[in-house]
Amino acid sequence: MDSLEIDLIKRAQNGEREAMEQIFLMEREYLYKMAFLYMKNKEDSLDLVQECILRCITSIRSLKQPQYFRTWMTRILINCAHEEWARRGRYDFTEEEVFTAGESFPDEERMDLYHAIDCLNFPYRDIIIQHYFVGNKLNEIARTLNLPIGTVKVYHSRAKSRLKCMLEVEE
Amino acid sequence: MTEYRVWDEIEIPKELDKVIKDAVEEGHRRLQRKRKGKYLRVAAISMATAAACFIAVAVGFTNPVVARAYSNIPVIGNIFAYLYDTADSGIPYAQVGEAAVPVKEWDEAAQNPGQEEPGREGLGQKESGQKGLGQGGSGQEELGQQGGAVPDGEADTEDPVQIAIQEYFCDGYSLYLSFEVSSEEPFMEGVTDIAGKAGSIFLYATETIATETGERAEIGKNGSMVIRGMFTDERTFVGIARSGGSLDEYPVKDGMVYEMDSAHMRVFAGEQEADIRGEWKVSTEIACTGESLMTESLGQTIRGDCVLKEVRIQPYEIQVVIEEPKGRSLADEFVLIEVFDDQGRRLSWASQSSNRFVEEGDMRQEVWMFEKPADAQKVTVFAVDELKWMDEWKGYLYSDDPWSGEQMVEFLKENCFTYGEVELP
Repeated sequence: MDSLEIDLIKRAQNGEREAMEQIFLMEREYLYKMAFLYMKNKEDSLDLVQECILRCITSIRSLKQPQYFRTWMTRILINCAHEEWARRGRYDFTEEEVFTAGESFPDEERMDLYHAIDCLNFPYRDIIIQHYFVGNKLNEIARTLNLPIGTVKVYHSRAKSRLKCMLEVEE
Repeated sequence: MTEYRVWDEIEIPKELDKVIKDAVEEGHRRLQRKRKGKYLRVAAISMATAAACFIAVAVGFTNPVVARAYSNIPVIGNIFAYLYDTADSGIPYAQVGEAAVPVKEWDEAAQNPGQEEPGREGLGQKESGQKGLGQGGSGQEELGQQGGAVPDGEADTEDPVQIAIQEYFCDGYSLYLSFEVSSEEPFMEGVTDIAGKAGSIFLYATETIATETGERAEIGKNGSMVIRGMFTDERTFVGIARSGGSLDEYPVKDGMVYEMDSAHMRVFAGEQEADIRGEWKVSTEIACTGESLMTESLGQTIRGDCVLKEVRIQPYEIQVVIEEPKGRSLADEFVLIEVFDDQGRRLSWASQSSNRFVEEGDMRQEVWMFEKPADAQKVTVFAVDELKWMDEWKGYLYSDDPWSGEQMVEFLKENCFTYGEVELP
């Protein structure tokens, strides 16, 4: 992040509307794509972007280090996505139920990879999305999710195993 | 299994820009409302001195303070003590602040830049509307002289409201200033019982710092300053303000000059408020006080190599120092520092915008600054996992039936990374 962006963020923290707009327009593509990975359709993704921006602005003063603005924003977006999923009742899987859900699909069309990812629980789904779809490194994901890097590595391994397991069940 | 292709292929809808702009507009509106509400709450505390006792903003204005203030401390030239001294205070506030030394020749220097002495050039050059600064020694008024920081040329203006800096305290980073604001007419029309009541003045202000080499920097990027204090009568207000959010990373050294320009103030007294417009320019030379009043070493591990190093007690601030390896920030890991005093009050951040960072070798110190209540006897400092205990914080801060400060302290003692208790002087 360059000094111009940091200055923009500081100005936004001071309440400058133009600076806020510039920041989020600069991050527009990242924000939307990240939202899309979670919501899978345009309308919900736009709603998620909107909610994320609202929360970012109202709490931007709590951001202590402007250089980590994107990490902080990503975390807020992920939290918004989790809340939305919880609200829709899609987030009530226990770890055991994930497998049950996976096994209950044989009569449906073959469960593809993305559907399997949807069935993963927090934080496995986030790690898979962040790592394989966004391209973030595990240490960056650890920062975003506020988890130790060792934990993220373990979760990453588990998530892959579970995906494999779910896909194998389908086959 | 890499699926970057999916990322690349996600199409950006045309309406995204509008969604973002609308969201920013709505967010900004909510933020303004939130801040206004916050500020109105601040203003509301001035309704009564008694009510102010338990509001953090009015920390310096408890009844004992008022009693002492009216008993034996002169107002002019001693506003810090007037507002902050308590019978129990171990801090001699009357001796803490430095008398403000105004720079009265800035206008003259600006008009006659060629007459400046060598080494002072640049300060007097009138560029881009900047004011020139006069020579330190000859340009200073005698300490304690009535009129404080108002330059001569401005003291004679016909502005019915005058502002003067009386004292300051600067530790090299945080700058506190005491102000006397006097008006020819009563601040609040029809309000006659204002004397002795707490209040505040919100200044739309531009603050700058200038060095002897001519280097200038704008500080207090919020463009505003809040002076909190009390009315000594219906035409006079005395109060203390922390300059801007902080002095940021600007290297404040002795002999620097602080300037503040304002053309608009809003005066709050109880439920009343009044807008006043004028042209106010005040300045003072600044000398820093490097040592803190007291430093309590803690040295407690928070997480990994990150340590709750020490707590520094300043006259108007509690400064909590975290030591962490360079490149790592606990704040980034959502580990926050919270401070409560012995009366269960959660201390507000002194600087709303940023912490202070000081690098030493491979380590970096992160200094968290909190407002210091004048009547606090002890503080408890916590390193807290903000995310883990988010619900508890929300409940404490926003629920209809929140925990008391004491309950929150007990909860934090059991659930924080580490904490330290410090007796105040």
